[in-house]
Amino acid sequence: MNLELYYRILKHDPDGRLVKDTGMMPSGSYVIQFLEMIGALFDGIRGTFTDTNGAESTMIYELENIDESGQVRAPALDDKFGLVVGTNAGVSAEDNEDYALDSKIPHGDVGAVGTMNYRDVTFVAPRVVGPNVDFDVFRAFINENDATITVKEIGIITRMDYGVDKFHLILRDVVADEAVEAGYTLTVGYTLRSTA
Amino acid sequence: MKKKEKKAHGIQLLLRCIVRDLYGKVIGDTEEKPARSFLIQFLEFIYGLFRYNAHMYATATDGTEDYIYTTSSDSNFFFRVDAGVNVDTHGIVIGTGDTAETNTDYKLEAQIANGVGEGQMTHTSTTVSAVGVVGANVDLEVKRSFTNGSGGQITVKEAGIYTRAILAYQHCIVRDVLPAGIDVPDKCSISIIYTLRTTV
Repeated sequence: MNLELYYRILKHDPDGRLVKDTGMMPSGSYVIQFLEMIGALFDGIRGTFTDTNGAESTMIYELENIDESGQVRAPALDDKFGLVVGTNAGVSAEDNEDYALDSKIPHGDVGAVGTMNYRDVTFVAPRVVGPNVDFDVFRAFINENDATITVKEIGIITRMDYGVDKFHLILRDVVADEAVEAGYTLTVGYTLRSTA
Repeated sequence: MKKKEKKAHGIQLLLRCIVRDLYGKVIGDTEEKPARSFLIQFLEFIYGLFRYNAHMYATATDGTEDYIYTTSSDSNFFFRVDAGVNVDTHGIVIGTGDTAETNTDYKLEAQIANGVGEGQMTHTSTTVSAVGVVGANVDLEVKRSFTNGSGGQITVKEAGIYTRAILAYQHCIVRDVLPAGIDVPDKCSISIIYTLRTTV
């Protein structure tokens, strides 16, 4: 069985009522940096791969603490890593060698046009769920502007924080348009699932 | 009407077993087949990596809860599968057990030890390929060969991958019971090839 990957998108209105739930949708979108990261760890070597700027930079530094690599638990307000969303303005389909979202929506405060308020990344630890083992990653994004923002792509970016931070994309999905009206919150979840 | 092929999603795991005689001639080849069995320890390591601010314990191959991830040790102390020659504590491993896989398996049922004694096989090193785009896919290959110098035939029924953490703990992240036992005659070898594959 594959190590399956699903995403789920929920939308809540300003009063916290759930108004949309896509359910678990199959994701096809591990990009090459994910397996490159696993390969570097398997082999105990330095991993230098394409970062979100399109440059080659260190993703796994074999001689530095492991907690400096592969970070996804981004805090609130930080749009550089963790789960991220975008508008896919260039209408780009996913590709094995994607290294960035097409057009990431930045974090922004109230009234900042074209931004969303990024909340912290949270996890549900791996556990047995029926016949599967599930590991979940979630993040909420609040539209604090007057205008609707339409999310069309999602993904996960890791941070390597040794020296100057480096960021590497490991997942990217183009999703059905999700219009997020003013005051609404979009919550995006990824589930990594194994089944023996 | 042709049925539309279902697109794989997530990480595919493929397994190939090749048996060679004393002279290197291939006498058996399963070809690449879907494997089943990423275990809970794989996702527990990924969880530790993503979370990064706390140690992570997971069931080790001896059944105890041990570090699979700690925050204050070098990256090259964790998740290593590149075992050397004659090392049977990590890397690709094989065994004779055929009890069905479960999500919470933490070791092979009956691992074949390194050596030339009865029921043993000599382990070569485990190698990890560079990740590359192969047609429509991205592949990562992990390989190891085992030579039977025991004086008798050994039937391999299970395979898996053990990782090593901080030089002390091993964790089983993959276990597969083979669809059929593979006979490895005396003086012959078996090569195990796992491919991790992603496809957008």
